[in-house]
Amino acid sequence: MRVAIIGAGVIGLSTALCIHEQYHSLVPSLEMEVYADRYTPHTTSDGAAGLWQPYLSDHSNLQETLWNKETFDYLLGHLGSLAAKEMGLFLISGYNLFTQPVPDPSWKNIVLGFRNLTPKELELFPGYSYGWFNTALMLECRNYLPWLSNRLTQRGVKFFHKKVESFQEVSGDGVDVVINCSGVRAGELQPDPELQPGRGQIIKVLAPWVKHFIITHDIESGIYNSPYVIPGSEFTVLGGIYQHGNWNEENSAQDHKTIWENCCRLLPALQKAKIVEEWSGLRPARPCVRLERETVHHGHFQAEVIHNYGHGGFGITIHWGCAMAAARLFGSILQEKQLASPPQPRL
Amino acid sequence: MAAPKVAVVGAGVIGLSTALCITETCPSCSVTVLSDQFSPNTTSDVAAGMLIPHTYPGTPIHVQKQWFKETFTFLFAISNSPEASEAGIHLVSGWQVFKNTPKEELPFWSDVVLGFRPMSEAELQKFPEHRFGQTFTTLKCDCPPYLLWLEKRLKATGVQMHTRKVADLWDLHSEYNVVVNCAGIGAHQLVGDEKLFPVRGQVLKVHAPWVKNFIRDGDGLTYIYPGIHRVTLGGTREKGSWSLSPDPGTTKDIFDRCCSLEPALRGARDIEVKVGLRPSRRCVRLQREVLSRGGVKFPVVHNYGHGAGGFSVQRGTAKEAARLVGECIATLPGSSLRAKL
Repeated sequence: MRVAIIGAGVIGLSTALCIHEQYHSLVPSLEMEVYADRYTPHTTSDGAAGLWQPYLSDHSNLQETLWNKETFDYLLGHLGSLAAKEMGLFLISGYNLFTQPVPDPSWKNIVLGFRNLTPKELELFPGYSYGWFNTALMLECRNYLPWLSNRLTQRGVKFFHKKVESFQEVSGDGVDVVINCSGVRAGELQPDPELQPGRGQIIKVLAPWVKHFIITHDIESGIYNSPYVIPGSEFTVLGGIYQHGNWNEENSAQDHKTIWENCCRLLPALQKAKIVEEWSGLRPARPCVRLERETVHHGHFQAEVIHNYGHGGFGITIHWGCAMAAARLFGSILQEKQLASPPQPRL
Repeated sequence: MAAPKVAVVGAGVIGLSTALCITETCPSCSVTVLSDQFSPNTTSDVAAGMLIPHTYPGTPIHVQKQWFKETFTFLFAISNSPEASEAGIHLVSGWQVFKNTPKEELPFWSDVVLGFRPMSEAELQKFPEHRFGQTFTTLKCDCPPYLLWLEKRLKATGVQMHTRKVADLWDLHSEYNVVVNCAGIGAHQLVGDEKLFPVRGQVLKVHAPWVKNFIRDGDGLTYIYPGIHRVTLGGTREKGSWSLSPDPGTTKDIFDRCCSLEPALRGARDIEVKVGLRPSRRCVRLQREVLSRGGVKFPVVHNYGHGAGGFSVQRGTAKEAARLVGECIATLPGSSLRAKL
């Protein structure tokens, strides 16, 4: 049984690992291949700071809230392990700031120590009158993607540097199941008007005295269009750009100015920080994640496709929950093909 | 009289903070800092510089709280300014965990630090050996940067700094009008204070930049304090030990204890070992004294004995010391400041 994963960002690699871990002993003939035109450090995931934090509102998408929780709990369980450092996984505390009171988020009981900010804490952030403090997780893709790749390579998964132009290209080649983790360019494989780029730009600086994440929110301008500061293990990411429908992957001088001025106003100490890098990327934005099966036909051949794309600016946050859901869909495919006994209850 | 000449003996956090306060309360004074050691070789340089107060058994709690509050307010303002990174002052959040629930669940300083509250059950799960905990956000003064920044500020106001070993405070009586004794553990020899004793602390400074939160065991012996470039792992509290030599067995013990609190430290690199002698006393000696020999009087202000709590009360005790210096100056012969007080 040949399985092809299209896409080598956090979604593609984690889905590959999740499926391989669960099914390779049940399906001895399982052969897995990853196809991608971009690998770490050139994927969209690599540009993300890596903070686990869902959007403010889940739009009643309880499924996604559950996947977020599964991811957090999974990562939290790995915190004490020897692998954590190699994975780029660590705890981090910080602030969410608002100009007016807002309802508590769906994830308030998922993160640790969630509480409102005290008046004295708000003094740190003039212009903001309300906020939250909590402890969450960082998962830096510059470490996590190589870690996933190593685990997959150890398991005999093959990697191909190739831009797949159609599902038929792989299914016609004898692949039985295609896992579509192609992110923002999924529309090139199959038109999807709901999928749009949510362009972001970030500035990476050296500011090791910053120990907290700070995310500001402006209800008017929307998510990630308000400054944020996220300290990583080596660099601190400054951001605050979200441009819906903009496919431009070039850095914009205007956006640089916006990010720099807003973040320095938020944290005056940043004025002395040394700029190391600038990067732009396209969040694969969609009203909800597309995570479903589809049978794709090509002449006499047919292949099962599992779509797993459209994770917007919360791919890292939701990745493992989605990988597990994709693995369950894979299990049902196996059952239909009578290649495996009914799945054991497992989480 | 000419501008009063004040000598501050000691260039650790207390000496430099005190010198700064004196320049603020007595702008006409000429202030000189004298010390045999400057940063990075002071006791303060070994310390993590965390603003978590030590409780002095001999000082009323309301006084200690006032000292801490003044210090916290002063440093908070700097941490929120463009100078923060140069000054080495930054906010850090974390947990203080206890194996046994402490008698006092609310320390006197709980409303001075930010966001103080008990840890939730979920947070405590990270510490299976501990049953109770507190979480809060406080400030950290990274040394050497903080001391170097204080030195820079002092030099900008005209304060002179000289490397000089002062063996006897009286040696300064002909050059200075007032001397302020911020000699820390050095006061044991300098003024023969038998009530002052060292509490030896060994620490490790390691590279582990993925550790963003502090963790402290309520027993005060094991702690993890992330600084700008290094994480300070501690520690020991060896009462009466004068040894400044790192002990390898202790190094391993500290590392093991810290890894047990925070497994992520197992990947730490570039371990540097340091030793400091906390200048400990039942209470900080913060008082005036007049040295008198052959009819000549020499006023002294003592500000030493801060033990494990120097950083936390630096500003509060420095302000009080500066106030006492003002009193000394007002009582100097020919002082024109007498009328002003």
